[in-house]
Amino acid sequence: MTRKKGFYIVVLCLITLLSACSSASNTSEAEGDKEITFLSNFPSDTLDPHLSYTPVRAGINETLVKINEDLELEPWLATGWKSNDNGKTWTFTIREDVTFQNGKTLDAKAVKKSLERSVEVSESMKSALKLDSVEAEGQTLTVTLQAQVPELPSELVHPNTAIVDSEEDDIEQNPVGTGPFAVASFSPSSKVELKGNADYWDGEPNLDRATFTFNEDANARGLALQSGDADIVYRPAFESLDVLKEEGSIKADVVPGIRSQLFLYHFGSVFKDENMRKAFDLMIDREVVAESTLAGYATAAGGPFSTELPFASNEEKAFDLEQAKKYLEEAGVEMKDGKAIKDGEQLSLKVLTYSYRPELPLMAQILQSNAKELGIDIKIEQAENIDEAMATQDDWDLATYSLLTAPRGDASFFMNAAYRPGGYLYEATGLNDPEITKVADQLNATVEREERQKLAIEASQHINEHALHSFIVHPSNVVAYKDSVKNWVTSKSEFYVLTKDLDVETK
Amino acid sequence: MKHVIRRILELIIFLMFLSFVSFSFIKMAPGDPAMSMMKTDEVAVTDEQLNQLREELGFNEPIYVQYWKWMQGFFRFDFGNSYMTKQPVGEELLERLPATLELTIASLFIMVVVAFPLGSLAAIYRNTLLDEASRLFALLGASVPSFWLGLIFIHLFAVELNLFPSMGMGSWEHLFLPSLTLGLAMAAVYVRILRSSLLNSFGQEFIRAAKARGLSRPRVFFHHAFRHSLLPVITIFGVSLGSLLGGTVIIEVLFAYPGIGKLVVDAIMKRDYPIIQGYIFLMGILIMLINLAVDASYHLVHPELRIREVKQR
Repeated sequence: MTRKKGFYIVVLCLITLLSACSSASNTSEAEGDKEITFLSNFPSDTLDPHLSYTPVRAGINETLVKINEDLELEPWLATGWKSNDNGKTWTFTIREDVTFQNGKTLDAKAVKKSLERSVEVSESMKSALKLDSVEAEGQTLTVTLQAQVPELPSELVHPNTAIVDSEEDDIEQNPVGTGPFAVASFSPSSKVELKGNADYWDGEPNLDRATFTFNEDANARGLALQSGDADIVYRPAFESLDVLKEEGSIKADVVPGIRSQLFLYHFGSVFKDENMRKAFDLMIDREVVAESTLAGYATAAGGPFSTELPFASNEEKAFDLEQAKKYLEEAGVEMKDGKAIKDGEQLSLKVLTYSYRPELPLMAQILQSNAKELGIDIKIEQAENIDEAMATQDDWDLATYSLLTAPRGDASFFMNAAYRPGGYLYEATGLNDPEITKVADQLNATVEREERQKLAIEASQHINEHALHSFIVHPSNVVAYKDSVKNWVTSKSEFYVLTKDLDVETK
Repeated sequence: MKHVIRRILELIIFLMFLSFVSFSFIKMAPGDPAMSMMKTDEVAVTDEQLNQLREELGFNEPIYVQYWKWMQGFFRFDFGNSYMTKQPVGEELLERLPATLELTIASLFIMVVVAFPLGSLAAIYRNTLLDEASRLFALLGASVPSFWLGLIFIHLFAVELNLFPSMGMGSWEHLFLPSLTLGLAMAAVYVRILRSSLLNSFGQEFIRAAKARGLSRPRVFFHHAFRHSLLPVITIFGVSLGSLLGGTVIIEVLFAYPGIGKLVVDAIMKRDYPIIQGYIFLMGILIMLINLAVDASYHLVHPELRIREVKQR
């Protein structure tokens, strides 16, 4: 009997404990408050703005320069900038009347400390910004660099250069920025709870609270929207979009993205020959790739830069196996018994691919199937880490790849990474084209924006003409959200998510 | 006492060996975290800068030198900082451990609640409809992939019935769906093991003797047959506990449950050596402790072992 009693007591305690847990989770909500839950696919282990994108995306921190929806640079915490010596020394004017969420005023000194922290914490920012010395006086910030960096304003769009109050202690968990939302709580890789910053310099945000959550599974994200656990969902599974749209209360937003999916050629293989590259460039039906690997949520690529960018080359790429055959013949490939023979053997190539972006292995399969029609044997190999595989292996011929070619509205990243000696893609592919390197060098010495854009177009044309890489599609950014959400803007750059204008209809 | 000291010494030697072997294997695998740290896919970085970073991090030194440096830190209880988040490894792991522990305990609880009654009934009512149902349950449980089961549960319990949150953590409701998914998949195995172990016990002489002594059926079942049948269950329980604590990546990803499994898979992808090394060390300790507990529990449920040991002395 006593044992039974004990059992009941334990069960009673458990029930009380569980119900206490569940009610505790609801106590923070206040009546009539405007609140939104945003669900993204990029989890964050830290809220350090110099290591993670989340603080800028969640509207906690802001950068000196921002990239707008026309993918042009515009002032943000800096109202203007100039360089009088071709990009070695820069002067930035810091916006007045901006305060951090803790009430401190933003001045050049605070910006200096934040930038210095950024290069100290982040190896990538150290190499991108090349800071030598920073001087601050009032609202004027003078930055001297170790070398010419004409694209510095564009580099300062990078979320890891966001301005944070560096004097605060707990930057990893609770960064204090100048944005419309301040951190209320943070659970690493789970969620960030935010509260509206009523003193925001650009006007009070419409929302009182917001939650920024993460889930890497695309299907689960779609289900979270349907179940009401999220109001806005970034990149739901393409195949679930129709189901979501059928629910009258859910909207989907499809915006052309600036990412490029491409084939990289290994110049240490048969692809040293331009005719081989041109032949393979013609072997891919870009429309079919967009339709079958990304359910149509992509646009065919006409060059390295998305047509959304002001310096895109809007060429139309053909799919023409007959023409491809001609290029193959010019490259010394003979057709015998339905097989492509080069140097006495059937042409057999190895394509490296990786599964992180599921559309890439499919893209390799489409190429494999088209090449087979021309008698070329293609072996597909999945790499765990594609960058490592390309850099360490010698026997690959092609690789599928995905890249933001102009992540901050400027071509310099891609040009330096792919076409200048020392760049990681340049070294991995073994590319050697002095002409394109010359254009990249010119770009690195040009400050004037229009001139830079002209050089980027010139580079695109050269890349296309010589098929240095084959750009296939630009995937779109897809966001699904409840129709109660107002003023949602799907950011092409993917840097800005929660904004002061974002609103929700309260019932 | 002697036994305890011997066990602790064994544990230390095992951990030293484990740390050296894992350290060597991690370092011998191709690649390093330099490219991830430099974010080469979005920032123009030269080979020279990458090599400079490798030099700074000591990757160019011989493995034994790198290991010795790691050991020096270890003796000061310093496992180093994660390359990606710059946070101390100990903090990163301990931050995730509670979530993993919660999930482990809840999953095992669900497994026990489902498997023990079902396995027992299947044995008692052998070759009946109930036994067939348990066989079907085991078959389904073993063949249905957990991510699919998870999606179905989300659809049913979160979207259709709106009873539980579809993802995240924070309350017991958040814990329900991931632990149900894991618990049911495990229960499928345990149902069959318990059933066959019970059937084996039913045929033993001591059961016949107990029955002959006129003991009630429940007493024969719970005090004699069930207890005797727990031995194989406990053995596998130890293995399940180890693998659950090691992390269940698919479930963690699906339910956005920030456990230790996802942390370490990300660390492996990005070659975040300090996190990987710290994880292996932590898991080594946990698995050793689980094995000790399993050994100890054998003695509790199986008096024969105790008697045999006393006789040997």
